[in-house]
Amino acid sequence: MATPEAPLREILKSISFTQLPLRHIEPFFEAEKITTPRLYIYGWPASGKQSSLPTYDTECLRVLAVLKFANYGFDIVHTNEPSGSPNGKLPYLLLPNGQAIDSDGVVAHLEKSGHKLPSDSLPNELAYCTMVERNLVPAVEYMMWVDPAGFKRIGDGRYLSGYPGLVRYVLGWFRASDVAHDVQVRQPEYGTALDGEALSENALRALDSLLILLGDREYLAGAPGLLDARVFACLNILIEAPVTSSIRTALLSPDSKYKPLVDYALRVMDKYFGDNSA
Amino acid sequence: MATDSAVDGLSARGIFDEAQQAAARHSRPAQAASAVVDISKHSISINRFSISGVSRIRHGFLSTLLEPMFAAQTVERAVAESREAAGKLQALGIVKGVHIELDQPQNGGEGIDVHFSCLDGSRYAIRTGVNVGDDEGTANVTGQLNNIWGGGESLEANYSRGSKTQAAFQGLLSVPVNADPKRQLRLCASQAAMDSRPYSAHDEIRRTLSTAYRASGFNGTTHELQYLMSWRDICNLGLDASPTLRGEAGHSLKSAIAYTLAHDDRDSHTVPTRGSLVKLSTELAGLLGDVRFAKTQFEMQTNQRIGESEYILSTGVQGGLLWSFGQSGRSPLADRFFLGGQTSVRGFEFRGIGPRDHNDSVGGDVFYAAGVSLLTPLPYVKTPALKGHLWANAGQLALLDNRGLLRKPARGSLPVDEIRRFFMRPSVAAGFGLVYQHSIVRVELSCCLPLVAATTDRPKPGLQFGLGVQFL
Repeated sequence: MATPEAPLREILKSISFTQLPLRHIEPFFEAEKITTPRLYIYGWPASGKQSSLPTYDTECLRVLAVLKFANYGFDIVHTNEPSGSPNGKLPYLLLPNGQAIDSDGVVAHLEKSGHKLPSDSLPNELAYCTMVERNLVPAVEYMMWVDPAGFKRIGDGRYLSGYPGLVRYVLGWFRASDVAHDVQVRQPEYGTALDGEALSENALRALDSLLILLGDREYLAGAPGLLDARVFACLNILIEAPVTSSIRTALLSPDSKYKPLVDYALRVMDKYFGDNSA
Repeated sequence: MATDSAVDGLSARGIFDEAQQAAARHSRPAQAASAVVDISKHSISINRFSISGVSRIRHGFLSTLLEPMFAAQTVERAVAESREAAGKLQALGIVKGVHIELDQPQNGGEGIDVHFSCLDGSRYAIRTGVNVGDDEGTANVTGQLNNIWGGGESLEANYSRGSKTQAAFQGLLSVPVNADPKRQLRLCASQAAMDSRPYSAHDEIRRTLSTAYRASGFNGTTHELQYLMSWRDICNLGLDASPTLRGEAGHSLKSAIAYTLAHDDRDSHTVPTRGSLVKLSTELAGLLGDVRFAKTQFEMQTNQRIGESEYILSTGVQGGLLWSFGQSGRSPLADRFFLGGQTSVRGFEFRGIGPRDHNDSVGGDVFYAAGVSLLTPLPYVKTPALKGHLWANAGQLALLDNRGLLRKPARGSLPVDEIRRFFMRPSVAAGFGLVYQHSIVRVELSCCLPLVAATTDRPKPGLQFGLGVQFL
């Protein structure tokens, strides 16, 4: 209903602060557009085909495998800088809408986006995953970050080489300390006496269990799932990484009893990562 | 301390005798006009120097300090140099006060003896305080050791926390050069953790080691040449951090040489009514470390009273350029410029002008800002500290890479068009309000009217409160 105050209200509205600023201009900045989800991982693109693995980090390779198994479309970005991740660790997935998802949230994101992993057909998959995380992952992490030869070749030589000298030394020391601490947390019964040999023995025992589980099947869990992603990551890093270890020797010896596991790892590698390089 | 020096001209005894006679003649009123004797130009030399009341002072330092005094050849010069030396002792914190005594030589020789009776300076001090500026307030505690080696050296340790600075430590060693408090060599180690939220969803940790030579000249001019090495870490990103910010996160090591020239003859740092400020700084990074850039920044401000009135007109201009020549061609976030806020371009939020991705201000490589202010007297207000304030500010900020001014132009445009548009299309605001001049800080309350803004800027119409020292 029109009232005498209506024109005055309109005038006041036109000069009120809600109408400011009076003029808008186009910004002088255009952020980079992301059209495809990006997975940020450790690892440099290889010059020359030195390895078929895109990374030697277990968590990065595990998440890569999960995304591949779920047939999720994404690009790989080698960054070696974990600070951009929501939890400060690589890998993390960056979506086109700007949202970032760390490794713990990837499975939930896949389910939400309709890219489910093949259904779980292994009753004790969680127990096997725990066994692998407790016995196999620490051995690989130790080999990359704590063992002096592995640290020089992979941890420092590959993932920290982009930093200047002083920063590289300090970050390497902290990273190695963190990994050593994580390893001791996962295997507390050894206390401070934990070393590479003890880790290798535990890892080989875990491989024995996995060998029995695999049998003559194509995948550990019947269909490629979380356990397969975890085991695939550990096995292929042990096989491909240019670091000598007793586990690698046991896996790749001519008459190794672990040959079915090695064949399994390479089979998954060929099927899902055939065109990647590290 | 005693030193022999050659006798030249009238002896000390002769001077004092003449002065006594002049005083006697002066006591006779009829002859008072002819009783004054000017002895300032008489030749004299310093025979001996002694000092008392100082617990610690280095012989070499004192020799350097007193060299001009011993070189003095007239009474006027000797007195002036004595006062100068005493002033330097006080400025360096070695003494709190000095009483200068000139007397006949005790051993009966020629020249005069100079004696400094001093009140010893504090060897240590602990103080707390509050700093304000740039939209931030910090509380700090400082411990200081003075005159640690007997030459005016000081060692200071400072810890502060604030609204944006989560924790900051600093250790500073200052050493005067050639016993001159206006020339100092400084060695500084510091660490600061700063929270940039809500303007940008990240923390920044800086660990810096620097050494600097600072010289203050006449007329308020200071020069500073500095070398610094700084390890920066952009970390603790928020869940809603933008992709651009995630790409900037991480560690960087800067090794740089910086030179700063400042000339400030304003009558006040907070609310100047006359004088000008000129400040120019240049930084070159890349000798070591992983960032390589050349950075320059200038600031000019003039203040002038309009005629004989109480109206003060102030104008200010700022600008800066950061040119990166690293491998990526992009500058590090920690070195970029930011624009906007009550102490920068009023009418906009802090860091509210320039490149922005989602809610994160990402800074820029080139900026300019200009402001004009008119301070007015207020009716019925007797205190000169409170004034009316009319102002207008403008500025713009952009990146110099393929996301900013150097990005691929739209069809039909030239690359230079975007640069031209940058200079011709600033973000603009005007307003009015009040200014209060406190002894250490300037307080502003403004009604802001943002007039022109980019679609990604953060204008802040309405009342805006500002607390700081330096305003545009």
